[in-house]
Amino acid sequence: MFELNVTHRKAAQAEPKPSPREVAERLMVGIVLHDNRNTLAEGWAFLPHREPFRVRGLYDLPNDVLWISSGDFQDFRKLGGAQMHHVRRTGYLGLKLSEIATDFGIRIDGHHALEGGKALVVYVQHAVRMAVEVYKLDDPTRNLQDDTLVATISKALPPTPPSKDMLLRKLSSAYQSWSSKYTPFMDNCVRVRLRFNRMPYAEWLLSNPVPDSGWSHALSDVGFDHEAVMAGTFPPTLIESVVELDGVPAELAGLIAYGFGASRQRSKRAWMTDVEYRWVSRFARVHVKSYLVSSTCLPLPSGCQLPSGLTQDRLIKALPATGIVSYIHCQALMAAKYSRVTNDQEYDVHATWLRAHDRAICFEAALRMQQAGFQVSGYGNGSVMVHVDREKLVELEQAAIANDFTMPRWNALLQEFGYVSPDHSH
Amino acid sequence: MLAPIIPIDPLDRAISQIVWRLPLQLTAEMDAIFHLSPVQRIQRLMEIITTAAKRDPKIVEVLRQPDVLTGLKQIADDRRAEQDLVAQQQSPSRAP
Repeated sequence: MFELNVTHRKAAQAEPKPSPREVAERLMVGIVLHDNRNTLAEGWAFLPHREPFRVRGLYDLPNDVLWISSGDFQDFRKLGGAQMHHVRRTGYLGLKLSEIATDFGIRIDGHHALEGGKALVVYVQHAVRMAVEVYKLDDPTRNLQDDTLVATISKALPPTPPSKDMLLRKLSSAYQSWSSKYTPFMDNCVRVRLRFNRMPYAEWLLSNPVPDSGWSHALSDVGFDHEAVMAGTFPPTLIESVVELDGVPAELAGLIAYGFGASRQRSKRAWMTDVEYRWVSRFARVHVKSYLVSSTCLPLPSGCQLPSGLTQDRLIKALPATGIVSYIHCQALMAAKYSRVTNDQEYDVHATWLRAHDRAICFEAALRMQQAGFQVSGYGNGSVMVHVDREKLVELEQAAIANDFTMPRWNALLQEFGYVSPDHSH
Repeated sequence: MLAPIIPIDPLDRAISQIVWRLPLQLTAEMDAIFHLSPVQRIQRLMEIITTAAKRDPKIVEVLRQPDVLTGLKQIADDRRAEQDLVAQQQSPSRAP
């Protein structure tokens, strides 16, 4: 019996290992759009280039496919979806299915789901397969076990050196992923998320230097060189600060959104990075109470950069699926990591600095849109959310293109509101 | 004119603008060029752009921007030359 096992093992070893491309091509990815996403019950299931079929619930889904459901995090956990080995929730790609659809100009709400799902599933499968190939996830059954692809890719990246205990709370206090601005409801208004092309955005974001180590703490503002920080010649600094916004015009103060996230802020914003200090202090008074300085500033390690499979060809960089994978890569670097020691989410130095760069550039874009006369309701993750009167959609398109926003697909959006003929869209 | 928010090469910007103006079906076909050889990629991209440009005048506008069409042709030529060179190196040498 022992000999038989050895023979089998030898035979298995002799079998050529499939290449990452072969693994990716064998992987089938489908989506499920539930009629009511809060129940995770009936809905349409889609596989690329196949006819959609009705399902009564998640248990109807064939198990040889990785399914992404339109069910959201809470419902997915509550209704047992999270326990199913071959089904993942809507945010699997770091973005909800509805967000990806909106970027592509695909409608998946209500009766549009049947047609929209057919188009959307092609992009979703492309993106997952591309990630499997470029990150060399050679065994999808083992590698794709995580709740999200962000978590999977996070494991494929080199671990960030652990932050010192004295830094953890300060980094958490300096971290802000989404910036919200209160926007009153307007009649006849459309909410449009303008998004930079994800690939050049990711390349730019990851080209920014991050602090290395050797932190020293100054317990007052003595030695803090405002001019050098503004010029970017001061070493990377984490600043304990008080931001005074009185005297700043209300619209601008709202847009700065210091500590105003999409949901309840987990920790009080008492610290900021030098990256945030540079732009906030252009508009508001920032009082420095104390600060921490890192001895050196280095580029992100090469292992944290985008994989060469995505960057080696400028035509590959332009593909929509490349954009989604590069977005997931950035999210993996910027996401909080769970710590067993503190039983809480922790932010490392890389995540905090990259977030600060993201917030800085998105603020700049949001400010331009606000100055162009559009109502901004939030920004972050390489995007700006704008509320716009339907009559001004064409104006918004022009402003968006002038500022290098490539998404949403304008043809589809303008067609939905009757501005262009269907010929130009589908 | 404000400076670009993110530094992007003008040709990359133009390609990106075109890709995001393509009809959905062609955008999905674009993703399929990932598995083609570099020469086939640019050939397929040019075919897709040509098809789309016939129906969308805004794509023609992007193509008419300075250095866009010439840039695309240059990419095609470079890749073809590179492919020929590799083919020459790989073919058995024919000594006179």
